[in-house]
Amino acid sequence: MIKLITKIWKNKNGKFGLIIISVILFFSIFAPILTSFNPTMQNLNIVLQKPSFSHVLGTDYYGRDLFTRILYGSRVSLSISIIASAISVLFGTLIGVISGLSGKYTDNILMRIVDIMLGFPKFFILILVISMGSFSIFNTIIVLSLFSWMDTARLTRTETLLLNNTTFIKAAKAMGMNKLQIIFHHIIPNISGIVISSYSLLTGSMIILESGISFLGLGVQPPNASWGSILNEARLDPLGGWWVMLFAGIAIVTTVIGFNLLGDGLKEILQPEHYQDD
Amino acid sequence: MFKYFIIKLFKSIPVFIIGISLVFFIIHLSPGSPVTKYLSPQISTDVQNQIIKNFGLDQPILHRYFKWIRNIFRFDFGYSLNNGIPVKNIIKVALVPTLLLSFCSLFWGLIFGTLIGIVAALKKNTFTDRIITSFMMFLYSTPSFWIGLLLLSAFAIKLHLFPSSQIISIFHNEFTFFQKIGDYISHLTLPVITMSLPISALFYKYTRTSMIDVMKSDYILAAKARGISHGKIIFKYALRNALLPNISILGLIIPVMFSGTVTIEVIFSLPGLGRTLVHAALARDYPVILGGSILAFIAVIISNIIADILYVVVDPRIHKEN
Repeated sequence: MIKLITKIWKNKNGKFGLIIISVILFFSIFAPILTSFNPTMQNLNIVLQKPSFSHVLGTDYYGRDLFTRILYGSRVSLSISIIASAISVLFGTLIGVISGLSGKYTDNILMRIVDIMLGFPKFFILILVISMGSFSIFNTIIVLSLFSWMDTARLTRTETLLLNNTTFIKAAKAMGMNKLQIIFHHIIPNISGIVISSYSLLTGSMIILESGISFLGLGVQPPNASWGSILNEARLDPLGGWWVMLFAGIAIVTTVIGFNLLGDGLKEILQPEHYQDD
Repeated sequence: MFKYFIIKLFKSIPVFIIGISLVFFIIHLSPGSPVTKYLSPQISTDVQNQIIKNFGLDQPILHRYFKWIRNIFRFDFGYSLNNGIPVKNIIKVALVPTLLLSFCSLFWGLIFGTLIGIVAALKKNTFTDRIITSFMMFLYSTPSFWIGLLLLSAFAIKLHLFPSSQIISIFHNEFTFFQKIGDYISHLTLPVITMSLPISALFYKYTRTSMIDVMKSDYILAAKARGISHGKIIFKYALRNALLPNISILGLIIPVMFSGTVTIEVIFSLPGLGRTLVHAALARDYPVILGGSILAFIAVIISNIIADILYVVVDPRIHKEN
């Protein structure tokens, strides 16, 4: 673990990504200490105030401190996207490894399912499912991860197929290791690099998806905040403060850039042969 | 070539049927019903049952399912439960803004992304390349609805340069032909910019990588050795191969674009398909949701097939292998 972090630190993209994500996680975890305001408490005397010393990022349409709302909103956005992409990456890896190792029929069926799922207009299906049921963080995580595991499955399947033809796996088979042992001793350690980097990239796109859903008013319900729902409030009141939409958007973009940089960095560290002289 | 196309088409039929069936069962088995908004506590049970019966919701779900599938193959998509308009007409009207928006953005995104990608690849590891790459990284990580929101509030609401909603003006019918075109352009400028920026970032990413690979290959070195001019090498020799990955993502990008249109249509109040479907989903308007989903699946399947065909056109080796 420490070895991996020092490696990331030496990579330029990975370093920036790691710094950004750590700062944002720090802000999100210590939100109650870092701000003295309540994210849902309205104060109609200070509606739509510009950024100042008492309210660092200004206040919104209901006089709530925007900085506080963005901090608390990050908790919802980050927890949904981090957990959902963890579930979908694990599930995708499972399907990918099974599909890569097993014979014709299972592989065919699983890959057909992946094709079908990739054909779905994902965002629309998400809107459909979430608008049909009632919103809860749990539901959103389940729905997001149900429709996001396919890319990882494809990726890990290809890698497993490649690995399965290598000499050391053949040797392991000849030595009488069974399938489970091969999976856990040889395949998982060798594809873990790809899995970790795709986890980071997926988390970035999950944040965009989640904020898109909240932006349409389907996700986190008022008065609670998420980055998307703050932007939604800004959309409904376009003549109001520019700072509301600006800062909430910057929060999303910075976080996504962080995860993308970290993902790219991890890719470069963990599969160095692809990046020899770019 | 034609045979290849037919085989592809037949292979995608199960995908289509499974996909739309899944949507059917998701919306019919989820809680809530389109009837509830017509019901009030004063209504007697007889009337309630009559309303449910009018919508055909009293029948068992499998019965409804098979009836629906049968009707699809007769091109009968039913009527909206909200306003009684045939779903076909609703979708026909909503399709125009969506198609205009998606094709214009795809066009500009492709051109912009590819050109910038080539420039960045040719100036690899220079200052220009670094600036472009970080700017594109920013675009790639930015949700399109945020760009749209900023553009809308800056150019439409603060500066009044562009209209803030709808696809045509109120007096559209009184305009001359050129005024009509100008009207469309002024309404579509901001949405198209919003949507084409993330698309161009995607195309940029693939073009840059593949252009760098191609420029390293032996045949380019040979062309350079023979003294062929720089421009000719790039545009005649390298570009064709460098564009291959762009074509494969053309097939993948259609579902993504469909998602993009939803939020952009909501922001700019364009009366397009995405917005119609979101409203239908919120109102539990089953036939409209299903009709829209069918269209979305058809669009995805057709775009995949087109991408396959383009692949063969650009790279004849693939055709020979099959």
